Amino acid sequence: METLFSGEFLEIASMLGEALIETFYMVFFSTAIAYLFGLPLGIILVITEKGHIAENLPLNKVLAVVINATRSLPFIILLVALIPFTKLLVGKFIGTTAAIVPLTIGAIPFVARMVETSLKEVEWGLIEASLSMGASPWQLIRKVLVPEALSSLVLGATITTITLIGYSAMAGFVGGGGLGDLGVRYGFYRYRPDIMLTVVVTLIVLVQLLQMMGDHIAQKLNKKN
Amino acid sequence: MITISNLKKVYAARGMEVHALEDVSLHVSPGEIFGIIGLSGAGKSTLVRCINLLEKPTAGTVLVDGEDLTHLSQKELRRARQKIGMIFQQFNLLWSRTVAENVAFPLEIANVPKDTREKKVSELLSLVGLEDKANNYPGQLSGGQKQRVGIARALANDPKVLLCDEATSALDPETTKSILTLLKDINKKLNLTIVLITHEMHVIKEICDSVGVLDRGIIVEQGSVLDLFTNPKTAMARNFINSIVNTEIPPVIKERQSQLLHQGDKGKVIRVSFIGETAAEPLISSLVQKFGVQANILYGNIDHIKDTIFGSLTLELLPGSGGDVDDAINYLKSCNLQVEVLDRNGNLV
Repeated sequence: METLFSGEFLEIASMLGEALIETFYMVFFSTAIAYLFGLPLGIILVITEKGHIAENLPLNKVLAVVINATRSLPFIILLVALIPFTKLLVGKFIGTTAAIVPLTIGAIPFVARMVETSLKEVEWGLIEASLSMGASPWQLIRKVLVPEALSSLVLGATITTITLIGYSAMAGFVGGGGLGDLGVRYGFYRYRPDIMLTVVVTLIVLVQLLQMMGDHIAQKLNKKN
Repeated sequence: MITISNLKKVYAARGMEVHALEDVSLHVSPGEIFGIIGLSGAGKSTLVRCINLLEKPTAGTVLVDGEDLTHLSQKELRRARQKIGMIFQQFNLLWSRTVAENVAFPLEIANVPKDTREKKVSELLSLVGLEDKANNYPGQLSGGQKQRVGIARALANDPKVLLCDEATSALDPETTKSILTLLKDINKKLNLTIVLITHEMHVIKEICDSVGVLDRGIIVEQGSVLDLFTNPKTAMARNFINSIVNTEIPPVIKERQSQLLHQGDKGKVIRVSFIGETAAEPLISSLVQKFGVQANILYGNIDHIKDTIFGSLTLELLPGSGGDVDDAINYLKSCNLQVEVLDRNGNLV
């Protein structure tokens, strides 16, 4: 009995360990790459607005429409729709690495909106003051907009990461693995409530830890109060 | 130092045209403190923002140190702005930077090397008296300290002009005074031209050399502060002056005056206004001695702008024993005083 229990325990532990690594891998890279594209997009959304430092209403409108369109798609549909693109990019559409592509594409517009919201919290007075000193648009972005919004940007990144953990559960559909996939395949289809419970508890702890970490860093970065 | 000619600013707001500035022409001499006063909505903020082109004028020219800013390219304008400092009502310090880093910010923009930057920052912080706050964040400072940082930051690139946008309006009276004193010191020490906008007349009186009164987008009056105080030409200017110097006779005095004149003796109520030198002469005793009239002070105030004393006295002159009130009045007029005879309601006769 004891050996059976420990065997089962080891089995779950090893599956959980593997799934955790897959989840980390997918979420880390998709968040990082999504920010690589989403951060500039968010900045462009803000500065091309009416009256801002690089007003360009046509560009602003086009970007908004594209972002809204991408965000309207349910992630599972995006996952399937992007199969040809994924194949083109990484040579295959099955597997953990392949899953990063749709996760990233799905996250970019989300990140752009998060960044936009954070940057808009920067008081106009600070921008005006910087312009009055002769700051160029690039100096303004690098030295004012982003640093002043940093605390809020970190909170946004925390939300993005947590959202992507949720999305990554669907990556099982393209053989991406990860915690969500483990829960669905073993916990649900093979009726293993012990595995389901383990997955759910792990996810809860993971999200709690991430949020706590994000809040802590944002708090440290916020010098306003 | 600054010449504004026929400046116009029209906004399009919800399909309507809003004329923020109608036709403004101004001249600010080098080294002077020029105040622009107006009620809210008069266009003060727009006007001061047109000087460094934070607001782009619809028409007109802005010359700063001989350079027409309205005809510069973006790049040239940025370079020109480095020589025009600006401070704000809400201070507008970067929250994520320490005091020292805030002051260093305009130097970074101007690509000043790091060691020069550090030296300049410590000089500026000692100029505004904040050496001990160098590593604090703006969130830890009081309003007055924040504005000092704002001033240090505005001076970083050795500007020729400092623009002040309601710089003391968010501060308490005590702090306002200390900030105004600092501005005055800087003006003297660095021979810096300062343009400030305000809705508070005491700010103008405290530190300005010249003043322009802005009313609904038009400069209705401009000249030296002393001229404005002693000889205001518009109702707007008079209202601003009355907000700090009470030239109107209070009702209690008027009532008394009305009773006095009612009693039918040959007395007259006059208001004598004086500026500068004459304020120091022993007027009333001369009246009594030379003309045998009795003088009764009903009301008065005396104030000063920089070193010039000015004010007005409302006197009741009675003939007393054989004195002539009219002779006395003529004497006062001959002393270069402005004399007005008032009726029983305190109005000019």
